[in-house]
Amino acid sequence: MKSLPLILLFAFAILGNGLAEDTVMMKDGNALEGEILGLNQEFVTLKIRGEIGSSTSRIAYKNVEYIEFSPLEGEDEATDLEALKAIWEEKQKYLSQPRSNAGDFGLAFAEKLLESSNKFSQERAKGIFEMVEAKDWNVENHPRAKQGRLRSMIALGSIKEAMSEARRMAEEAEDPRVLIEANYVLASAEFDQLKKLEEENPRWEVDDEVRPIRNEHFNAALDQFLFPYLFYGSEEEASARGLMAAAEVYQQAKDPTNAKLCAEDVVKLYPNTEHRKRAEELIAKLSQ
Amino acid sequence: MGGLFVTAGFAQSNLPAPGAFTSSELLAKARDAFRQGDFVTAEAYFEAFDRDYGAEPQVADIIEQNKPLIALCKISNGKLPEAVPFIESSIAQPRLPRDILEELTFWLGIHYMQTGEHRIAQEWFGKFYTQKDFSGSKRAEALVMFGTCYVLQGYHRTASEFFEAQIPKLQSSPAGKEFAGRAIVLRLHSLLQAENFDGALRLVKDAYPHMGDISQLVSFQTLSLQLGSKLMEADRFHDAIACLQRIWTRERLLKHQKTRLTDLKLRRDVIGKDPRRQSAVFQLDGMIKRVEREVVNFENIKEFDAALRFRLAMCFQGLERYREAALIMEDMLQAMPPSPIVESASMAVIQCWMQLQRWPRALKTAEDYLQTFGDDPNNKNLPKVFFMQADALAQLQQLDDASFTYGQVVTLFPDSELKPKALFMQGFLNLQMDLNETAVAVFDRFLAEHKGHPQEQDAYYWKGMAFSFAKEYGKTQEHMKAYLAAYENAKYESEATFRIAYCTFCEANYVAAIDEFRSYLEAFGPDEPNADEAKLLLGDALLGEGLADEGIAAYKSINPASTRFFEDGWFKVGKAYKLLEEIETMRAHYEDFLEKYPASQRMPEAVYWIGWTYVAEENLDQAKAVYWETIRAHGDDPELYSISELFDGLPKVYRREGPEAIAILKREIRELQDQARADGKKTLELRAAWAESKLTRRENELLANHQMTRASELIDPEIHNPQIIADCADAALATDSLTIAEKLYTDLRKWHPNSYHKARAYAGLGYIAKAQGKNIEAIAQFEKFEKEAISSIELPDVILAKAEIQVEEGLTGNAKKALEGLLEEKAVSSQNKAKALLGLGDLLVTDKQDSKAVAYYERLYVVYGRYRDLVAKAYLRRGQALERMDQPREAFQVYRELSQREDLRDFPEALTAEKRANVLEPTLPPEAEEEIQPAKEA
Repeated sequence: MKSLPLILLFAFAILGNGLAEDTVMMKDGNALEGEILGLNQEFVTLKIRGEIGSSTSRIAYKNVEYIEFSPLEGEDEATDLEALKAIWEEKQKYLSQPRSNAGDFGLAFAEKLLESSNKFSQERAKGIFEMVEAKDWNVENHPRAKQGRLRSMIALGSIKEAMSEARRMAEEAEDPRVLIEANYVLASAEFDQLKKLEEENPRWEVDDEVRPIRNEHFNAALDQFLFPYLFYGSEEEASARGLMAAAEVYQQAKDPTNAKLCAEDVVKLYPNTEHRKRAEELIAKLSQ
Repeated sequence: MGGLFVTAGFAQSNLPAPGAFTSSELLAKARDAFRQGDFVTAEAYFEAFDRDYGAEPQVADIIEQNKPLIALCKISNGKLPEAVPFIESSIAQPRLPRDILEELTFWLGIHYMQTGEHRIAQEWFGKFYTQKDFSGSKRAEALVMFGTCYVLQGYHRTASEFFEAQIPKLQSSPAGKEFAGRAIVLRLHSLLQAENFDGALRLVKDAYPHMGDISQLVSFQTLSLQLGSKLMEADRFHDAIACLQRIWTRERLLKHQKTRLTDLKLRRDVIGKDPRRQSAVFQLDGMIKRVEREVVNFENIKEFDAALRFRLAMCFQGLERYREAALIMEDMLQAMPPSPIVESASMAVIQCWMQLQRWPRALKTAEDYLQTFGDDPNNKNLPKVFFMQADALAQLQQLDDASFTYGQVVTLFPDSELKPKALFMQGFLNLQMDLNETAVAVFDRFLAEHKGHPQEQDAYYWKGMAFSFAKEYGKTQEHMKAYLAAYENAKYESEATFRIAYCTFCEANYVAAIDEFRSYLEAFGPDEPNADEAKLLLGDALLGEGLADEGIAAYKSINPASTRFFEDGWFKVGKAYKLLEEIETMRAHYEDFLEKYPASQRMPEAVYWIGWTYVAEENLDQAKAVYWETIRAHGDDPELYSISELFDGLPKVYRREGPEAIAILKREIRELQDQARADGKKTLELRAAWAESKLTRRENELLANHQMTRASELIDPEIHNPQIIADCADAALATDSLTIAEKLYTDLRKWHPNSYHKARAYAGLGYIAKAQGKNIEAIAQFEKFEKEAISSIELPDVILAKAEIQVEEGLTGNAKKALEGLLEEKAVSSQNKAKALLGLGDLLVTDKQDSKAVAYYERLYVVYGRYRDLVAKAYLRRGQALERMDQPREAFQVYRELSQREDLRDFPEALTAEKRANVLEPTLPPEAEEEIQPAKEA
């Protein structure tokens, strides 16, 4: 493909037809709007629309300051699995590109996949988490991706490996978010083991052999779910998530009093988090 | 003019000599130095000008023009009070440039603020602020200074309201953020001073997202900590938590402020030389000074994090959220060197874990505490920590260690108020450990050393109980009588009175016991905890004295709610009727029980006795009928485990009609099974199938095992009798149906964790694991079995199986030790000892120590001759070992002895031995004359 002179490119850009388009910000301060057709370390291939037609051009990547990606159609409303899948598939090629939100959609899609008990979905989720962890330009997403990967390992039955990696992460992490996520993984694994053990031993309460093991899982799950709340209480979403998970552990243990207390903490201390609604519902349910 | 330079100070030392320069020269030099930012030199030349030419009328205008510059020099040279007359004079000049007017007005405000004339300062800052063309940042500074004057005057509410109104304005511009930060700190201070904690908390929450903009962040966070403490003291724990959670750690704060300090100093250096930006320099200097002071002061507060964490933990403790409190404190303690805060926090952590009944954690924390703080002779908390450690140990059933630790409280802290309590607990634990004599000694010590202590009576009473548990009835009576005499309205009056009667009864003094029990029941009524036991024993005593009617009446007076005593009483009444040969009454009595309490675990016993009455009347059909009726009525009720015992009882009744009746019984059981299947009564069908298999076992074990394995398909492990599950599992194991067996054993363990048969699951799972080559799993299961079933008849088999694995794993020593242990254990049956001997012999054979093995085999058949199956094996193996030892003659003799023993003839080993003896016999050399002769003579 032949490169157009920049001045012509600007002419096309100015004549843009008003559709939502990607913006390529040049190092010289100019901006080009169009549809990114290709992107690599050397060139950005941009389709620029104008009143007289459209043109495709390659721009040397070294001249590009950054690219502002325009949202895809339906991006803001995408919550179901199929919609997230479509967006992720479209965006994943830009995962390592600064200012791309591909990683966010990768995580959302993988989280959705992980909700399924289907092994194939769990494997796929693990693959996406791994990709985001390794390639997403946005390092803010890495702890969540790491945590997601460990959770998919747990779902796939590699509990010991996941727990030992989470423990190592927790020991080595300086970033509190990594620490929080590692503890969340550990807590989730403990909770899973607690549920499994109680299911396999319905009379654990009178079982001298099982009861101490069950209590260890119960306490470990609670202690670790409460970790952000107790040590990074200003990390509001993580703290509220931990409290709601602790409430779930208490409910599993048929202890509505403490479950309610955890939910009340969310309402009192983290009223602006996404967990508030669920906390209020739980309080109402447990107050009946 | 002269007089304006009231104090020369620094400038004076730089003054040029009088007359050294002309007026123009002095003026030029002064202005030149001013322009270059050399304010000391500028001030000196201005002063020299005034000194040398100030009196001349033609320079009056020049002097007026110089005043603002002189004021600025003095301000720059840190002589604000000296600058004030120049400032006041300058700002009255109509043509004073706006930028200089701005600078000087501001400084006037500062001056009055510094001299404590806050109202005047506020006037000047107010005037300054209203000048819209003045610099935005200086106006913002003036605004903050205006509010600060309210604070300095103690008008905290006004200050807080003022700042509340101004902060949003300041925050709206990028340049105002720094001032907004200072205003926030000042407002938080004022709110705290005004005790407006709600407002303060709101401010802390609102400011948190922009906290990085606050230059005096340490002050803000320290004030937040104060607020958190205030809220905590007011029991507003959630609010306190919300506040304290927004405080950074010491390290994060210091790092943040040091970075800020570097930035501020850089900015100060850049603008410091501009004479017209002196107020900005002043602002920066002020900020630098404040931040520096904060950092220095804060660096000295080493325990900031601990104080923060401790308060947070206290809030959770206040909310009775002990887990949260303990976790915070425990984390805090890990990273901190010993200190008073750490010490008291450690105490609190132990208490929290105790409260949560997390005994292992409490124990660990107590141990850590004692390791860190245990050597301090002035530590007043030590006895309490030892005491809690002992409590935790007791809860973990580590009674010996608990007793020792209570003993430490007694020995190490004789003056502690916990000492008597610890001593009492030590005595009580000795009772629990059956160390009755030691318990008596401990309680004696308590009574000698702690007269009048609230637990004195407890010690007195439990000492008597120690005698009773030791079966020292005379001493018990004597002691309990002394106890009752020693205390009016004694705490244990009823219990002690009962115990006296109980001991009289145990000494078989029934006449006295009757009186004592009657007196006891009369005095304390039927609701006393021991009343029903007293009635039972009273009945026994009355019957012992031949007073049957009164005895029966005593039994019948037992409250049905005391199930155990009530049922005991019922069956003793039945026994009394039997002794009185009142067979019909006896039958009616048991029929009554059957009707009223079909769910009782003793129901089959009642059926047995009803059947017995019919047998006694030689009415076998009726005897059988009562079994069948009960089985048909209740046999499908899975909760009535004891129905299985009725099936076990049936053959005994049928055998009375001869051995052929068992075949009839089998047929009837099969018919029952078919009927139950047709009726969909799965539990009854299962029970019948199980019973049939048990009947088959005597004749055909293999068939019985297959029947039982097939019956297992009917099992619902959640509801069915664990004995049936275990029997079916054992049968499946015996027929190598390992998958079925494993599932049954697993279900047995899962659904019946408290069943006596659980141990069979461990053994079975161990055997399965062994068969599958999972040695570690097998050993784990066998060890669980050993722990669970110390006196089980299967124990030696399990130990032997375990020993085989140990040998396989190269741990022969462990296997040998385990088997030797069996031989030494008194509680082990002689059959199991015989098995252990056989196992030890086999181990030695495996270890190629035939010469030692032969001794074990020989010992078996010499000492344990009644276990013929084992004896036969021992003979044969001894013979085989002797052969390997190249002692064919001795081997031959052993084989021959085995084959010739009548009682061992049916065992396969006898046949093997005979064959081997026949093989050996012709190969044996003739016995040497000299060897045989003396024997013959003998």
